[in-house]
Amino acid sequence: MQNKLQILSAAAKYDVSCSSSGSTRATPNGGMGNAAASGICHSFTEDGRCVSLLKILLSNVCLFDCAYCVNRRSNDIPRATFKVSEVVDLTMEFYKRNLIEGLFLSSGVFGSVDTTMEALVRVARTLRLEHRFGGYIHLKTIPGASPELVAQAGLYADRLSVNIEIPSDASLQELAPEKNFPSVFTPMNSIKDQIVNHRAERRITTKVPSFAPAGQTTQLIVGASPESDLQILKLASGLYGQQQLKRVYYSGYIPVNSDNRLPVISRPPLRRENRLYQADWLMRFYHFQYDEIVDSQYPDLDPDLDPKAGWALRHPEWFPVDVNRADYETILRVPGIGVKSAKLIVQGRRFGTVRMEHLKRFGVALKRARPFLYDPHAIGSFREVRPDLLRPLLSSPPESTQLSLFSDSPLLLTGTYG
Amino acid sequence: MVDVHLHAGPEVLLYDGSFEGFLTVVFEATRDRIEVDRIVAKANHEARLFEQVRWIELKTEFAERVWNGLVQRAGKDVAAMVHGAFLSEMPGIETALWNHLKLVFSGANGSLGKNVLDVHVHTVYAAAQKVQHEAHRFLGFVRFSKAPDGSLYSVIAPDHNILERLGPHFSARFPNETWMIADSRRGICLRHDRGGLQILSVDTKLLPKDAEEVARIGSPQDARFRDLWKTYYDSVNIAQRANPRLMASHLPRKYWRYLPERQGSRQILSHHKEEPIA
Ligand code: SF4
Repeated sequence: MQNKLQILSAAAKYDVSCSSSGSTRATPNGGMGNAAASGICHSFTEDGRCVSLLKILLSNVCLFDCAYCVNRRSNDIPRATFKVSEVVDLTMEFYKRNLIEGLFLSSGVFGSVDTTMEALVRVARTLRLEHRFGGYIHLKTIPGASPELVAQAGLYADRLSVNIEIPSDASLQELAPEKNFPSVFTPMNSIKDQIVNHRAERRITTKVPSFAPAGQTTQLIVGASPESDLQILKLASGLYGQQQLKRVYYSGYIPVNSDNRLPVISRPPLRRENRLYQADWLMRFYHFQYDEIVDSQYPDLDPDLDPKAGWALRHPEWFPVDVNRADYETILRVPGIGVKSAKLIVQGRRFGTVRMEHLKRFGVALKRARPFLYDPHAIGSFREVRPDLLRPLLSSPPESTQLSLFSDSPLLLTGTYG
Repeated sequence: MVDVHLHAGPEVLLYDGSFEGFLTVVFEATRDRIEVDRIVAKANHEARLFEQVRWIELKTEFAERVWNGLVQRAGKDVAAMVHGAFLSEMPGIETALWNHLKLVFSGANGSLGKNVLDVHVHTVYAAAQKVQHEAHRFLGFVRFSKAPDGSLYSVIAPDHNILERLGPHFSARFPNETWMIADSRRGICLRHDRGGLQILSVDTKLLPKDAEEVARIGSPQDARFRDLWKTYYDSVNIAQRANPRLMASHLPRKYWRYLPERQGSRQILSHHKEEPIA
């Protein structure tokens, strides 16, 4: 068991999604476990990532041969497959000890796509029906799985995901000969439709079961193929809009195979990955459009500048902002001001004038924010923003905003991303 | 009836350290128009020269009156914030709360309790946030061991007095189990069984000091799952992304003591230097 667990968790670790948020479920009668809307991290690994779910593969045997994946059929590696009962036991015993919020189950494709999908569904069904398990379940949907199985999966799972992995159809087909965009988007769209339909019906009668109440997510590998940040963010923006995804995860490419279709790199592009998360964050919580962050003139994010600062320097006409008058959305656009501090500003100014000393107490990064703020009381406050002078001041290595990786809500964060 | 004071001037008010005790102080200090220098739990009081000290005994009835008045005037959110800030046990928090409550009860309505521009209100707000944050962390960091009789047992050592904040979450999640979470820093224990939830006091000396001692209470079956957990923890780590600083910022060393996955060689890094209450 130790051995199997080691193989099948190590094989699942490259899927960065770990969130357990977005669902609320009461503990079933006579059962155990519920789902907490805000998501809970139970531990953090040495790489700084949150451990929230038991994230494993049912099997690392795979018929497919995706160039970027350790489990591809052409690799000579130890293979293992869990029995359904083993996964169920492990989940229940870990859960009881408060080690996890639930299960995130994925798999290599063994037998056939539908055999695999059916086995995944069986694990979820056993947990829900036989063990009356109320904790979080995230099931991976295998591209090409039959609609009936996907429909069943949504009845037991909180969240479903189909990974796109490679951010353009052409690159995907080159690197994963058995996959293409339609094989990914077909199940994704069908999941979206079922989520929308179930939600609509549940508004009429709660007798209708909920379907993947925590929505669906996907993952994009960054740096294994030549797409620009513009292409990636445009894709992500479409996924949030059209497919109504809850999260898009970005995973800096980590070479696990040598393959001449893949780039040779010495270090995974973690900084780029982090900038993409920051940009994604701006789209989800700061009301930015993707083409405000990158455009055909600047198709890639600046590695030395967080995307909000980058935007601000390209748009001096927005500044300086007067925090005592500006609306919440505008305040949020000031570098150095995060969601938490913007809320405090709006709350505080009902009682009086918000001054620099308050901003400091509210956790605003004043060094970054000050040049963008209008302050009638300070002598020498900039009346006009000069991008050429400010750029060096704002350049910074990415801060540890990787928390955003794991949380669907910015308010739970300790640090605020300004 | 008003006490007769021989010396005028601000006083140090002592109470028993409980929330109800503190609210009683608020009641009496308001009623008797006491000029407050500071409010301190008796156990934390360090006497200074020439200070006037007054002990105020808990009276449930008074405490309830203050609490109900607070809820009525300022609403549930502000009341919850007051309680949360109190649980922070940060030095000086009672005095900040006193100043905050004066604002709440002085204005035309309770809304002044939300004026975050005021330094006391902000202190209370920030303390309550800290408590909420730590309580949220411990929803994840509690580790249950299974005793041979099937009950679940956990020990934690949080900075703030968050134990009671964990009760509703774990009761909802494990309604049919008997479980206990002990706070080894404060000598209190949250116990749940089908009959409900209780907070008991326990002798800190009798409580396990680290994960290893907790493990000894567990059954052999329990050891197996602990080992599986450690295997899992190690194998989901991605070595190429190593970032121990990021890890430690999410999972501060002060919390490692009772986490089985952070024991062994890793403990060498950790076992000195307790972080102070921030
Ligand atoms: S189908 Fe999935 S498991 Fe199989 S090779 Fe492709 S990415 Fe890897």
